[in-house]
Amino acid sequence: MLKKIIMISCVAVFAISCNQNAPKEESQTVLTIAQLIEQAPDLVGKEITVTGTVDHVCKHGGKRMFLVGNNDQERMKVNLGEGQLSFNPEMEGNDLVVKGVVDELKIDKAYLDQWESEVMADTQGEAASKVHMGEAGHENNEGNKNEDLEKIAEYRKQIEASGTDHVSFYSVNCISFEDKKQ
Amino acid sequence: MKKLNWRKWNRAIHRDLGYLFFAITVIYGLSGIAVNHISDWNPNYVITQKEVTFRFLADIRKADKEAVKLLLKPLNEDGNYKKHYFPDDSTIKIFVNGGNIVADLNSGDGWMETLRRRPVFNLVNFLHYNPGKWWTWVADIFAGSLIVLAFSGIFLIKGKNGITGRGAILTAIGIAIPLLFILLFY
Repeated sequence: MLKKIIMISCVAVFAISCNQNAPKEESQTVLTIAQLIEQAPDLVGKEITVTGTVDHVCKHGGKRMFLVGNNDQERMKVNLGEGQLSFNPEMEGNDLVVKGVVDELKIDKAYLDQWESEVMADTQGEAASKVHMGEAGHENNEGNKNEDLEKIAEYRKQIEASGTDHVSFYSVNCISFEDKKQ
Repeated sequence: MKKLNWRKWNRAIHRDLGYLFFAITVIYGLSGIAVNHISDWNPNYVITQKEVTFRFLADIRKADKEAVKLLLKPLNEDGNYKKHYFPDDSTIKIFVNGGNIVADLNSGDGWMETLRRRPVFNLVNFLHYNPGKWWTWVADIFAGSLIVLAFSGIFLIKGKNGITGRGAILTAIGIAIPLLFILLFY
């Protein structure tokens, strides 16, 4: 019995000492929204940390929120991460530090055709392909077919103007976040 | 050897699980209805909007926290100030506890949106969305118990109202409904 206790103690001491020598997690540079927007094409699929003010949280399910920097042009969508409950709308106006992975949504003609067919199918609820941008008052227009069709037309124009076959929207898939005040 | 009275045990299990999970069944039932209709309403929050008007000074864009708090005083929201910023050249957005105000800098007209937790539904949805690992255990035990309740329920009584009579018809209808949806829509 005594032997067992000594052996378990040795293993425990060894494990603790190993843990203390483990390299500490590297601190990540905290990007501003403007920096993230600028660097986003090179950061797709990579883990980043970004800080901004919560401008809007989608009220229905709290599945996404929008962070802003100094103005509305500096705006970034943050999607709820795996295993996360929901973003709390009461966080609007709070400054957050968000850790997440940069995601790219490529919108091309095929994507818009699919979205348009979903809108025209007139099924209940919003189209699965709908692009959420968290515009002011968008929750009052949910299910508004014309609103969606106007957006689709606008994206078609943007693709045409871009000189490529698509436009990209970048967002962050949230891993964790921290309220700066707390 | 005394024969095991399994019906007695069945009734006891059904009864006690029913008592134990009464509250959680109501919680999941309410939040289930709420989430089912999420495209028609917001089950978590009551959101109200009202028109507001400000008289902005010429240098409003330089306004600091204290100046914005003064603007909020007539609305009795000065104590709730959180932050403000200018989304574009003609708009100010002010965040207050429990809402926000967006106003046009030229006309002074704006909208105030207030957010209030919807009584009962906010709480039941919080639990339905699974607030953590311990609730996962509770929810798993509850889900398992629902299966036990379902099986014990069909064998509660004997006779013409039991599973060999009226119960058989109702159980068959209950099985047919999801089967029909699978056949038609899957």
